[in-house]
Amino acid sequence: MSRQVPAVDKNFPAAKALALDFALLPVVNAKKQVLGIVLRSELIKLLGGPLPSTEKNMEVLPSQTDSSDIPELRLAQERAILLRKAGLIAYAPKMLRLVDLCLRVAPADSTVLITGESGVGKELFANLIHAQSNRALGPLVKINCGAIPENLLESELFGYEAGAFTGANRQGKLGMFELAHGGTLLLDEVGELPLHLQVKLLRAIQTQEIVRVGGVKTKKVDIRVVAATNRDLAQMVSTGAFRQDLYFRLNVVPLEVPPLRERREDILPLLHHMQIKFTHKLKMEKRFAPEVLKALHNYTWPGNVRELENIVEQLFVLTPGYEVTAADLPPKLCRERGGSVKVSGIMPLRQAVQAVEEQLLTEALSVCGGTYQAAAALGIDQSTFVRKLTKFKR
Amino acid sequence: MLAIGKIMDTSVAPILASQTIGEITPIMQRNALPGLPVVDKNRKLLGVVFSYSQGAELAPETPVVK
Repeated sequence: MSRQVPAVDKNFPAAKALALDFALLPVVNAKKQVLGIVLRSELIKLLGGPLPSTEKNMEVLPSQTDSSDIPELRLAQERAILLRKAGLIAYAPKMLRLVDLCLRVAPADSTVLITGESGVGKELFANLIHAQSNRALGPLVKINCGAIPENLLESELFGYEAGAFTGANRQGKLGMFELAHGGTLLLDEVGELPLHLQVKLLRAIQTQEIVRVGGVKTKKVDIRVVAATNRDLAQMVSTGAFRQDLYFRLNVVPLEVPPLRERREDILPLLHHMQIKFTHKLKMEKRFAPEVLKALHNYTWPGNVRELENIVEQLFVLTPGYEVTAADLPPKLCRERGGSVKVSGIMPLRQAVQAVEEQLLTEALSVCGGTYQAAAALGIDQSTFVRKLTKFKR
Repeated sequence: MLAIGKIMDTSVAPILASQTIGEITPIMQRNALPGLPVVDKNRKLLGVVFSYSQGAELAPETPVVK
């Protein structure tokens, strides 16, 4: 055993850790108790070094070490395994709290309403809830209420009897409720459900009974409903677009998935995950320059994880060389900085405006990497940009 | 600046000093880990054992810390 390897605390800068040049570093708290480890290969990937060539070096798998006498580590280990299985990347405190809430809710069989902006990963949380519930061995049936034409939605949800309508299958058809029997039914985009179907859905959830389209007999089903939406259902209730009774029936356990801009700690780990994914999918390796990581970290991500994934794929496909630099970034990423202008005390207006201009120019140049890109991001000519920059440098 | 805590992998449990070389070598090989931190019963760090360190050449039943 080597005692010369330094231990670091959680706040130690990653760049300095890379410079220490060890294969792994234990991360410890003030009492020198081990919290986890950081691998050099992970640091190289995150901070823009060359990617390891073999797949097995890219992902640190959980070890099989018996840590039963270390409960905190065992819990952390179990949670990490669950998250990996569910495909969730969660490092931000808000996300970890949500994961813990999901794990508490999962075995309870209660109806869950998952809300959050488009692209935040609501479906992944539904997967996690199903996988950790007592219904995990049963089916998880997903239906996107917004993707199916209104006139077909009823027969898709509840099925139909033979000859129920012109063009119907002779044997009839099972609906999603019957297919999900013994398991979980995910009603995605539930806010898109037409009002006349909301009544039937409410009855089906309450009584766990359905009637097929064109049928007269009720059929018992045993399902758990998980609903997801990016709409504000409470507001839809107030405008009459969503039934209040159904809202209360669905909103038994509300889970709100935070947007990516509110969990910036997850951006770089997500990027790392996508980097591995696209390296395999597209059979090409890319290195992200530090200023690119900075720009990705600072962007507001209105499209959330879906947008991040699209941008990473776009950068993989469109960047000609091995290294992705700030010049390869779409202009919107350079433009959005989300920074604030600091004013210290009262000063002449002309002087304050000049200070802000100088700050903006320097920032744009450092993020965008070139004067043309920086000028485009600021919405001015490149010649104006250079002239102003030269003036400030004098 | 990115802090080390953001990328720390807590899914890798440290090993106890009483575990043997024979127990930990397959763990490191199977998971392609270059090494593992070694702790006492209070989870306090004692050191790090590497797959390429002297221990690998010792008998499998040798404890990580003699």
